[in-house]
Order: sequence, then structure tokens, then C-alpha cells
Amino acid sequence: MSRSATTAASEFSNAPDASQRLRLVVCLSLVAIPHALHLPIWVLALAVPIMAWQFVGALREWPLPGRWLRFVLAAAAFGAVFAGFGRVNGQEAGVSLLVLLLALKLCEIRSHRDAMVFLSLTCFLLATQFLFSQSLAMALYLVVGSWVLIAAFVDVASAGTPRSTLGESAKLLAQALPVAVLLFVLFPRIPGPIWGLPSDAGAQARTGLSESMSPGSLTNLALDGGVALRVRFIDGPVPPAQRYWRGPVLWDFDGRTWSRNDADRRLPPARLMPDTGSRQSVDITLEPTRHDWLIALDVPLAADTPSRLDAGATLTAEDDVNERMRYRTTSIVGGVLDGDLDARTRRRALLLPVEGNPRARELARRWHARYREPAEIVDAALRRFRQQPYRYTLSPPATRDNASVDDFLFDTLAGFCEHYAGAFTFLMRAAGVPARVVTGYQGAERATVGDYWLVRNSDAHAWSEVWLAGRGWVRVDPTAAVAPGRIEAGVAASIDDRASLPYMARASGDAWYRVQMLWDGINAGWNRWFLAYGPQLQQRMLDLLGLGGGWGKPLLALTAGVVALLALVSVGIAWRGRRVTDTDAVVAAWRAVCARLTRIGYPRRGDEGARAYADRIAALRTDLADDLQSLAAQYTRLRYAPEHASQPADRAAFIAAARSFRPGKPGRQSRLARNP
Amino acid sequence: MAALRRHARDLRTRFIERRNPPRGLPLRVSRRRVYILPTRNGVVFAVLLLVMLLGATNYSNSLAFALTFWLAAVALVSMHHAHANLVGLRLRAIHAAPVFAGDTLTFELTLEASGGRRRRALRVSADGRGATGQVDIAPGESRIVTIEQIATARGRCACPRLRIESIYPVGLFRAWTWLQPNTQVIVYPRCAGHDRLPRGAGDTSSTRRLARKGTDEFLGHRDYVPGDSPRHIDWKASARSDDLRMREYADRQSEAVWLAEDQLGTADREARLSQLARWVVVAERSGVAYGLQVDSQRLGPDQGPAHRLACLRALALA
Repeated sequence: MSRSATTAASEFSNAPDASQRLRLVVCLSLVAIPHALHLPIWVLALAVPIMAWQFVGALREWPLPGRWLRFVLAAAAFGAVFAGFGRVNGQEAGVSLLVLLLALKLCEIRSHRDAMVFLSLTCFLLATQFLFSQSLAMALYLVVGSWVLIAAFVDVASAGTPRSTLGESAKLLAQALPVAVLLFVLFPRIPGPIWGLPSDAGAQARTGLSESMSPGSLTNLALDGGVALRVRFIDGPVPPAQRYWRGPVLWDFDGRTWSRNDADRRLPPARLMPDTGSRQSVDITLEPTRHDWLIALDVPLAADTPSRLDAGATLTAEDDVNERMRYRTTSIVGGVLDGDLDARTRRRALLLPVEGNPRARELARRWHARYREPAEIVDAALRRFRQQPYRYTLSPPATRDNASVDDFLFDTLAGFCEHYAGAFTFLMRAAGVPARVVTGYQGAERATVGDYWLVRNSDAHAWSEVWLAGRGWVRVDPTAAVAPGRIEAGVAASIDDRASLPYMARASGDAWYRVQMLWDGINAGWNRWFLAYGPQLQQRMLDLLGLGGGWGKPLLALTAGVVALLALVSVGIAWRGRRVTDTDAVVAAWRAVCARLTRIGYPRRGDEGARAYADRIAALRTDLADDLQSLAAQYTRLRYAPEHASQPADRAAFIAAARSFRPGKPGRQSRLARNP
Repeated sequence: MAALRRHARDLRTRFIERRNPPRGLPLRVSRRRVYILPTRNGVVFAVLLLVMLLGATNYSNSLAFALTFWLAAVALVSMHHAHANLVGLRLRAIHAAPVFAGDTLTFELTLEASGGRRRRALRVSADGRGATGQVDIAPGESRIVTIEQIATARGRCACPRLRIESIYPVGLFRAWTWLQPNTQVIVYPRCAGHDRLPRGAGDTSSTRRLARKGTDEFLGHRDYVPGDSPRHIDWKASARSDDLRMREYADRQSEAVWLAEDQLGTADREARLSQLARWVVVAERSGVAYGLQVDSQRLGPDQGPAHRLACLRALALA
């Protein structure tokens, strides 16, 4: 038995002591660590010293800083964030401000309430991590962060009573997990965004296709082994020669760079004849591009996400794709695209700079004079690429800025796909054949784990489309004329300097490659089943569970499930509480004596001590009196006189005596005596 | 508005009293008597979870959803822990020493954690006033906590309604229960008054000549008894013995003193009882045999702690 000191404590006076403040500093640091990866360095340069200051302050038990200092520091934090970002809202600025203010909040944790507010905001800080990354590693971090945070809550709530807070936290989280899963699956999801995303939402700029193409730009992309999109062929995989993934179409040429501009938006949208060619459904998970195009199998017809076809038949979303996005597209392979060419579009597809690249223009003029059919001009160009010693390489010689096409066609004869597509399109336009550059990806690699295909940045490709009367826009891939293997087997099989490709793009098939593919498979599953779980997938899931049609049934199921799970938890707690952990053999022996007496009709009253009980029974049963009173006396001495309790012999004697105490059923007389 | 608030408070008190009639010890906290509500911090936390939910929806962020739901689930589970933390707790004994009105009454409560669960971060108060610090009780063990209260009036003072509460485990919910033990403590009249202790009365028939531990004639030696004045220790005699030896004297004022209400002029009964209480204390301290007459009750004359208690008790219950 211990005695607690009396304190005239009011409700909130259990202010965190220095050691608790120390733990709060550690908690904030642990939760904030991943932000160090993406916040500007100056934010860290401000936040880290403040936390270090508070850490040392708590360690040395320095008093908390005064009100004026805190005010000045908070104002400085606002000022710094505003100076650094030009605003205090938005993703990066907001998170920076939150980190700084939480670090400063450490300086004014004076009460239980302050600590609780601090911890609640730290929960919020943990949530902001996921705006920057939702990888599996971050999922692990969610577990660690929640564990530390709940432990801090336990720590703060039980001020003054030491305990294993981390153990309690783990227990709470484990018990809460089934409820959380149920909420995750069944809680009604509404499609976001609700208030619009800040312009800096999503991951930072990534490598990927851009709105322009100049010599060397796709070559750089070919050096990136990162995944651009993952696809699932619903109607079975298409043959390699058809694995063209359409991205932005580039109309404008300035002598060196092909680009897309806002004028393209005013062109009439592409018209794809749906009943021509074969229909292919493909599920695509696109990595963030920070552009508005949606990559799809050439040529897309529609997608199940809000989007439209632009003039270049590129699937275009309403907003930039700032986070990983999953959609299902329907494409027509071998269909007729734009059977009639609108006059404005035709003008656009023939536009060239007034001067530059004279030798190429001259060549085109000769073709124009010699051939009557545009298709013959196309063939002539492809024949030239095939017959002349053109090379397909990642490291072509440099070309002059104002004569890149001439230099490539007549001097260097070496280039990557952008050189071929750009030069070919230039020649076609110069020869009077409407043409445009299409950028995207070509190829796909089957994942070793999971039913999906990978398209990497290194699969980036550019090709041309020419418009032929009666056939519409026809894809012409001049690279295929130079390096046929590129289309069938990918870059790695067709390039002459293979070693400069990134490791994963080489698809070597060795152990490390297989490990990487396994990891990608796990990630793909994660993306597909967890990250993509939103309103659409939820609806599908509910239909599968037979809870479809309105929110009534799912909400009922959710409520019932949560109540049932909580009841289980409650029963579990009670069950643990029921278990008697008091393993003292003396107590157990005495309880057994009481139980035996209860069985023969002499229950112990709740307010009776051992002696009073024994005396009462002794009066009723004189035959038991001696044994029972002796037992009670021994028990009382062993239990309440500590100096005897330590003697094992006494304990053993009592336990033996208690075991051998076997009272018989009361006789007639004693029963009469008991019930006068 | 004030009337409304008072009405609400009355309703609350009546509700508590109806649900918790005074009962004899030991008292066990039953499942149906544990109440639970979110704390202010719990409400703040709930608002925060709502904001996180909106944020997760806005950014379609699955991990943010997961965190929000997990934290919400922890809060829900913690509610059950908070509840179970109190259920089955036993108030086994109450010890409170009698005091004079106006002094601090200290209730020593023996709380027992029955079952196999540790009881965490408990806080005991007299229905909100005079809360203790947070205490833990190990499974199967008991612990004494003390709450204090100013004894306002003489007589039998009922043990205040006890409120046992805890914000365990995460501070988002507060579970509490009321216990109303029927234990009563005697509160003596306020020990006050300036009148001098009356001299021994002339009524010799009711007085006895007794050797008293006063300050006059030397009678002999006796052993030390705790509480004896060190001035009367005979150091020389003690040096020759293993124990301390006390010098004993016969009191010159050996006639017993009678203390009665009619000796006092004041019309206020409480003031008279206060003066009598003070006389009892003074008389006991100065070693005078004294008798007390209050109402129809006559006690003594006698002296010693038991007599003093009997007299004070009689005054308390007069």
C-alpha cells in the first residue's frame, strides 16, 4: 500500500515537466524528419536550431522564453515564410509555416492543454507528409509516426505516473486497426477536390514528356529509367508494333524546336471514326506529369475520367496531372482519324519557318515535283533513311541551331528518334504533305510480378503523322526505318551505344533487375489497391459486397461494424481485467477456504474481514471453530503483518493447513442454529 | 439566465443523488455508473480530424485518409479503455479523524484495483473540489488517497460525494463516476471562547482527591509515557535506569472541575458549545479532572484521552 501526497491540484495544473517537454521535442522531430527532404533549406535552418534550443532547454530545465521573445519569433517565422514563398498558404509555404510554428509552440507548453493542442497539430503535420509522397515507405512512416504520437498523448494524459507509453500506444493502435480498416473501406468518399488544389500541389517537377522537342530532349529522357505509366491491357496485350502511347502533338517548328502552343486549342477537335479499326480497353496508371495530357494507346477515343480529345487527338484532362492518376481508356487501333481535314488544321500542318534548312527544302521540292501521290513522297523519305547510312544513337554529333535538319540529314546522319521524326515532318511539310510530330512512348515491358506492363521514361519516343486523303492521319515512324528493332524490341535492343542507357531500361534480366521488378510489382499493387481507393473504386467494392445503391446500406454496415468491433475491444479489456493476477499463494489458499465454506452454505459477507468471518462461522459450527479461527489468525498475520510474511515456513504451514481444511456439510443442529 | 443555470445545477444534483444513494462500504464502481464525455481537448481533436478528412478528400490522398481514420479509431477505442479503467474499482475503507469545526477534515480513502488491470491516472475529488494528483493502482493492490475538506459545522459530517475520474489513456475522453459512501465523521464544535476555566466547585461530594500530574507536591517516580512534558523528566534518576523516569507531583488544585452550559452567559448555543469544547481541551491539557454536563448527559469527572473524546463527542452531537 502506498500513500499519495495530497495536492490541491486543479484540473489543468498537471503541467508538463522538463522530461515531458523533452519527449515532446523528440516527438515533433520524429514527425517532421521527412519534411527535411523537400522543404527549402532555409526553413530547416530556422526550425532545427529552435528545436535544438528547446531540446537543450528541456534537458537543462531552462525556464520557457518570455512572451515578447515568443511574439517576436512567431512574427519572424511568418515574415520568413512570406519572404521566402511570397505567401503563407499553399502547400510548401503552409507546411513550412506549420513546422516553424510548431517548433515555436514548444517554447510555450505550460499546461496540459498546451501539450494537447501541440500534439493535435503534430498529427496534422504528420498528415501533410503525405501530400509530398505516398510511397510504401511513407506508409511505414505513418505507422511509426502514429505510434510515437499516440505514445506522446498517453504520456501527456498520464502526467506524473510513469509507464511504458510506447507499449500502450502500440496496444491502442493494434486494437484500433480493424476499426480503421472498416472506416477506410466503408466511410463514404466524395470526389475531390473540394476547394481546389494550390498551384504547387503534388510532387515536384518530374522528368517526362514536355511541350516541346528539340534535338537532345528525348535523348535525355531515354537516360531516365523511371516509370512513366503502368498499363493493364483489358482485351489482351496488343502486339509490340502497336504499342504506341500517344502524348502531346507538336505542330510548330521554329527551325530547331518543335512545340505545342495555345493556338492549338482553337483548332477543331480530332474526329476518330469509332467503327473503324479494333477497339482496345486499357487501364492506365499515370505518374504525375504536371501537364494536362493523359497518355493513352494510340489512338484514344475516350477515357472514364473527365477529358476531351484535342486537335492532335491527344486525350486532355481538365487540370494538370499533379498526382498519380488511374483511368481506363478506349482506343481504336487502325482506325480513320480525321477523314476530312479542316482548312485551318491543314494550314497548321503545312506551316514552316520562312527560311532555314535550305538543303532539306530543296530535297523536298524535288520529291514534290517527281511524285504525284503524297504516299509516294512518304515512301521516298523512308527509303532515304533506310538506304543511306543513317545511325540510331543516343549520342549524335551536335548540329547547328539554325540548320539542325540540314546538318542531320546531310552531314551527321546520326540521331535519336526526335531527329528522325523532326526531320521527316519537316520534309513532308516542305513537300506539301500535311504532317505533325507526335510525342509519347513506344513499347512496354511486362512486369514480373502482377498482371501489368511498365512503360518507362526511357521508352519516350517521337514519330510523325501525315495526312493522306481517304486515310486520314497516318502514323509514320521514321525511326523504324532506320532501326526496325526499336519498335519490336525496344531501345536497348536497337541502339548502338547500349551501355549508356539506364540500368532498368536495359532489361538485362539478372537478379538485381528481378528485385527491382519485384519492388515495382509491390508498389503497383499498393498504387492500384490502396492509393487509388477513391469514390470509383469504393463504389465497385460496395457493389461487390452487395452494399451498392445509395449510402444507406454502407453507412448501416459501417455503423454496425464499428460498434461490433468496439464491443469486441471492450470485451477483450474486460476479459483481461477478469484474470486474477494476484498469484500470492497465501491469498489463493485463503480464498479456497472461503470458497469451500461458501459451498456448504456459509458465504463470506462483503464487509467481513477474515477474523470476523471466522468468528461468525465458529459460533455456528463449533466443530470447525478451532481450525477456522486458527487459519484466520495465521492468514491475518501473514497478510497484514509484514515482518512475518517474509518467513517461508509460516507461509508453507498456513497453505498446508488451508489445503487440509475440508469442512463437512452442516448437521441438523448447526443448521437450526444458523437459521434461528 | 442565472435562474436557468441554477435550475440546471439542481437538476444535475438531483440526478446524481437519485443515481447514487448513500451506501455502506465497500463500494464498487459498477458498469452502469461510469459516465464518459469528450474532454475539451477531445473536441479540438475531433475538429482537427474533420479538417484532416476534408484535406484528404480534397487531395484524394489515401494515406491521409488512412491516418485520419486510424486516429479516429484510436479515439473510439480509447473511450472504451477510459470506461474500463474505472469499472470494478473498489472503495474499501474510509478513515477520517474527528476534527473541530473550522479545521481541515482529511478523508483517507482506500481504493482497491480489483481484477487483473492496472488502474491508471485516477483523480479523486469531493465532487470536483480538492482533487488529488493522478494515481495509479497496480492490479489487485490498494492505495490510500486523501482528500481534504473544511469542516464547516459541528455534528455528524457525511463523507462528501466522491468523484473519481480519469482521462486515461489519451486525454480525449474523461470517464468519471460518483460514489456516495454513507460514512460519517464527527465534527466537534469550533474550539473557541475566551472565558477562563472555572475553578473546582465546592461540591465535595462529587469530587475525589486524586494524585494528579500537576506542578506541586512531589509524590515519587514513574516511567515515561509518550506525551509527557520533558520538563518533568528526572535526568539524574533516568541516568541510573534504562528508561526515562518522570517526577510525579500532586496537583494543588485537585478538585474536579465541572463544565456546564449554565455557567456561560451568552445566549448563542453554538458559542456556548464552542467555549465548552475549548474548556475540555484546556482542562485535559492542564491535567485537571473535569466533568461535563451537556443537555441531560453527565460525563465524568475524569481525565485522559478517552474521556476527552467522549466529552467532545457529546458536545458535537448535542
